[in-house]
Amino acid sequence: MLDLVIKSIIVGGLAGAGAAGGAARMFHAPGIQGMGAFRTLGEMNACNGDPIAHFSYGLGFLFSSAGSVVGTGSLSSDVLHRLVPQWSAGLTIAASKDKTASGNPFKMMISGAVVGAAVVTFLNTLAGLIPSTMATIAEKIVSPAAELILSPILPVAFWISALGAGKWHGVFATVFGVLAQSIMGNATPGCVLGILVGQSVQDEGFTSKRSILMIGFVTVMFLLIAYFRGKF
Amino acid sequence: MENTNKLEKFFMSEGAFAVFMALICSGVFAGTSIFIQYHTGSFSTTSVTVMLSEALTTGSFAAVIGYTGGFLLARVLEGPLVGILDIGGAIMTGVGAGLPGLLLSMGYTSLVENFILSLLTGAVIGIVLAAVILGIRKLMPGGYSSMGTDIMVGAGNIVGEWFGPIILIMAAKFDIWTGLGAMLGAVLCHTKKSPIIGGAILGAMIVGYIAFLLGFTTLGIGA
Repeated sequence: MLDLVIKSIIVGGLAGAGAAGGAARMFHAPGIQGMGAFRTLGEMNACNGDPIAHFSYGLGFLFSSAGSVVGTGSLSSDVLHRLVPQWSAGLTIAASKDKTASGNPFKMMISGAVVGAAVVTFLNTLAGLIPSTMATIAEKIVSPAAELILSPILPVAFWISALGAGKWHGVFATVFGVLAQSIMGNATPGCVLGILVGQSVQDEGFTSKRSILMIGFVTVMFLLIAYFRGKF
Repeated sequence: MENTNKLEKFFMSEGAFAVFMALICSGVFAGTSIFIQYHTGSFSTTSVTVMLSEALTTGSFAAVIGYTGGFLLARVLEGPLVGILDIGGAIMTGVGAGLPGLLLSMGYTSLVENFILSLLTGAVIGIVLAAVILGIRKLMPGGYSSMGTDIMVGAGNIVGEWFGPIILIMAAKFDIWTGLGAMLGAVLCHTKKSPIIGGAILGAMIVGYIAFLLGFTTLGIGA
C-alpha cells in the first residue's frame, strides 16, 4: 500500500504539473504552444475565473472518475482533461486572488503538482469509498452535457465567430470545418485553422507568400492526418 | 520576487513547452507502470485501458499499437497547427497505452515495468515529442503572433454562456430532484453574481443524493 501511495504521489505530481502548466499556456495559444484540449479551454472559460465554479465543475468528474477507476483501473481521461486543470485553476485563483492567474503557466504548474498528486493518490487508493449514487448522478448529468459541448456547441461557437469575423474567416472555417469533421471527427480544429488562414488572407491578400504557404501547409497536414487516421 | 518573475517568464517561453511535455509524459507513462503492477492508475481513456488490459493478458499488442499510434501521430501533427496539443489522443492514449505497448511487444519490458526507468523513459518521450512539435512550428510560415486570437476568445465566451443552461437541462432530464437541486444551486449562484454552472452541478448532486436516501426517487438505479 505504501509503495502504491508513494508512486501515485510521484506520478500524479508530474502529470498534474505538466497538464496544468500546459493548460495555462492554452490561454496564450497560438502565440505559444499550449496543451490540453479545446473543450478544456472552453470549460475553463465557462467557469470564468470563479474558484467555486472551477472547483464544482472538477468535482463532478471526481465522482465519475472514481467509478471508472474502480471498474476498469483507468483514471479516465477526465483526470488530466478536467479535474487537474479546473482544480488547479481554482486553487491558483483562490491563492493569488487574481481572476486571470489561471493563465500563468508557472503558478498553474505548482498548483497542478499539488492537485495531481492528491487526486491520483485518492483515486488509486480510496475511490471505492465514494457512494455510487453520487457517481451516477455526476455521470448522468455532467457527462452528457460535456458531450454536447464537445460537439456540436464548441465547433458551432467557433463557426459563428468565424462567420461574424469576416468574409474569408467564414469561407475558410466552413471549408476546413467540414473537412475536419469528416477526417478528425470534430470540426473545431478546422474552424480554428479557418480563422487563422482567413485572418492571413484578409490582412495580406490571397497571393501573399504567407497565405499561400499557410493554405499549402494546412492542405498537406490534412492529408497526413487523414492518412494516419486510416481515412484512405 | 525577481527570481519568481524570471521563472514566470521562462515558463511563458516557447521552449518551456518541452519542460511541460517531459513532466506530463513522465507521469502518464509511469502511470501505466503502476497500472501493470496494481491494475489501477492508468491515465488512458477507459476504453483504451480496457484494450491495454486485454493486450497484457493475451500478449498481442497489435490492436492497441495500431489504434493509439495513429492517434498519436495525428495529434502531434495537428497540435502545432492550432497551437493546442490534444493531450487526450497524444499523451493519455499515445504515450499512456500505445508506446508502452510498443516497447513491451519489442521486449523492452524493464523500460515499462521498472518504475524508475518508466519515469525516465516517459520524460525522454516527452522531450522528443516536444522537439517534433516545436520543429513543425518553426517550419510554419509567417508566425502566429495574435492572429485571430480575439476571434477565438469570442468563441470561448459563447461556449461559456451555453454551459450552465445545458447542465440545468441535463439535470432536469435525468431526474426531477436533480433538476430542482440544479435549479436551486443556479439561482443561488446567479443572485450572488457568480457563474451558475458550479451551483447547478453541486445542487443536483446534493439534492439528488438526499432525495435518493429519503426514498423519494430511485434515480433509475436498482429499481
